[in-house]
Amino acid sequence: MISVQKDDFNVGFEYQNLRSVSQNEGAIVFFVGLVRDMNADGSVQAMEIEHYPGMTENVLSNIALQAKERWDLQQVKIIHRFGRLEAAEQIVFVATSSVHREAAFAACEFIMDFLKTKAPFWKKELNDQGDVWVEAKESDELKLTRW
Amino acid sequence: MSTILLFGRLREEVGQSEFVFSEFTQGTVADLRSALASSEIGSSHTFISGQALVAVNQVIVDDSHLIQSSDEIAIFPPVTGG
Repeated sequence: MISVQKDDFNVGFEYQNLRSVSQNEGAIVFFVGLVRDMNADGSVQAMEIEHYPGMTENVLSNIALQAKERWDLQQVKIIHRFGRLEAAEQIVFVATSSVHREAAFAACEFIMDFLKTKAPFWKKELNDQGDVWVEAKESDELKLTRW
Repeated sequence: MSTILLFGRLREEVGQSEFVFSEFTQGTVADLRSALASSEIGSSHTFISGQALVAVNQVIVDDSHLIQSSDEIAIFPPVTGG
């Protein structure tokens, strides 16, 4: 259900996995986050992602559990990568499945909002001018109030 | 004596992923922050005792949380995953 890994993931493979253990789902929603090649200050060549082994997995499991308690979900899958990632590479995968699409869409957004503000990952952007640690955004914290 | 884990920008600024903090054994998170503020490492890295988040046994806690001597303590900046 949760995977924190260095390796890339294959969305097609993950989708097929979700379908192979299908339990009367009517909807599968998934989100993929990528490394942007631009930020507000210019170009980004790559990103270094650090995490807190153990705590990161626990926090993600807890977020998935909260989503399952709140919506009628069949399956939840979260993959987040760490280490050096080049621009346009995949960072994060969140999938939810449910009988109805409303629950799957809402739970996927819920998981992403909490992942961004609670899971212990730290990003550093790498470019020609040097390395810059990404600052947490207040707007991400504000998004939690909708839940 | 406590071992404190550091992550992200803090780990990089301090230059190590953990350090032994002999001035603190147990007390609240607020006590830990105050002990850090008056320590050598805290005075050169003020973020450690200020805005940084504190996790005890891998759970983020507030300043009133009581830390036991066997607890795993980590200090880090606000998270930026996703």
